[in-house]
Amino acid sequence: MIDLNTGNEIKALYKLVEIKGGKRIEKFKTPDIKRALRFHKWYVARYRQGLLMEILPEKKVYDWKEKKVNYQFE
Amino acid sequence: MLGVPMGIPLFQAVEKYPECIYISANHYNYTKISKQVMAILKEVSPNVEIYSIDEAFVDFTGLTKLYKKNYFQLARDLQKRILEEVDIPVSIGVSRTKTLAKLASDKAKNTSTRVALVGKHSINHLLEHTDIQEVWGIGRKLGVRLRGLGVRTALDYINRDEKWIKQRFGKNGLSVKAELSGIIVSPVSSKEELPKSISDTKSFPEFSSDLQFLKNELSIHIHSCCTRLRKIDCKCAVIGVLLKTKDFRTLYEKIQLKTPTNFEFEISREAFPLLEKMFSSSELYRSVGIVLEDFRENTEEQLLLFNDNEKKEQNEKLGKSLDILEKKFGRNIVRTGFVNKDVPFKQGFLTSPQDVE
Repeated sequence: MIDLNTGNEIKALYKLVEIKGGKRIEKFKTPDIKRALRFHKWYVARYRQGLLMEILPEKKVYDWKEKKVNYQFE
Repeated sequence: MLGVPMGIPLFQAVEKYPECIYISANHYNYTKISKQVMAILKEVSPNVEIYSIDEAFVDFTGLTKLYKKNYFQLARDLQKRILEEVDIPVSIGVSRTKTLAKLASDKAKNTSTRVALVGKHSINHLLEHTDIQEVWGIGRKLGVRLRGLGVRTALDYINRDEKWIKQRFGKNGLSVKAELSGIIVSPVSSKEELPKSISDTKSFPEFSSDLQFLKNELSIHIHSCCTRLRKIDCKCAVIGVLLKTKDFRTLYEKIQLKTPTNFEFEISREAFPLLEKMFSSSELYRSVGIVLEDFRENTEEQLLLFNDNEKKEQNEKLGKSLDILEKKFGRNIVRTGFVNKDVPFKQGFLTSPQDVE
């Protein structure tokens, strides 16, 4: 993923989620987009069922108690 | 073209078209890109009407002399500039009225340059190849009715007598005809009007029949609506609560306020009883939402004699401080009226609100 303002690459987590009966079942989670797409292709070929891809970019969170910067996937 | 219909629910699309890659929406990102594009448009022309997140009308009148270019070149340059600066391909339709420009932009999508110019002499040619339903302002139902009356293309429509149109479709029908013939009825106006209503709703990740959870979710929506209200410097006088059951039944209740407000606590004080009134513990719910209507500008507010105006001022200050805090530290840093602490953050939005300014 690319930051629109700076053009820098942002780390992100790619989650593939199955939606079934109103429930979300997480099938696969990886920081590598290529692996995520490969899994998607394999899953579709195997089960003939699509998945929803959720992209969670990494976000800077400041911890006021510890007074340090943490990174977490949103 | 796979032929995925517009507005199809995700679970159906996933079953029908599994090969597609479905990506969760990122509305902050879209807003951000839209704002960048609109900023460029406003630089090019002083009169820009932002119609929606991905559409805008730009008044090119007189700009040919200023930039010493013809309309087609102006559009091409604008398109090039947007591609270079924002990295988004756009298609542009140039014509004499807004309705014609919209048709031209649809046509432009199929051309190699993605710019279509419809001048005085090519209007008839464009209208001849345009289905009546594609015209802006003519929906599906009206389209079917017009077809029944023998009007298939837009050209058929403008060839009809004015009296015939007025009898059947009234004033709106006439204005569509005028716009299609190249006479400006609704000019491009850059004046931003107050929205008629503000609403916020989102489906739960799982169905729920927990009143406390519903209240928390409603609080999030109320807060986001209030932030938007304060941004446009308005207060609302009507509050509506929306509740959707598992089987897509929609329940809606609304209430008129004595004094307009844009403060979370005051709105939730009225909204929670409405929610409790509709709520039944034996039912599963899929979403809850809030609708705020009847906006009054802050300046035209009528003060009541027996109201505690001091407290009101305090509330307003508190609301503003909430907005400042959120701007500084991110969305949902302060939450109002929460019962449980372990309720997740608002879902679906991936980037922080600081980016969208």
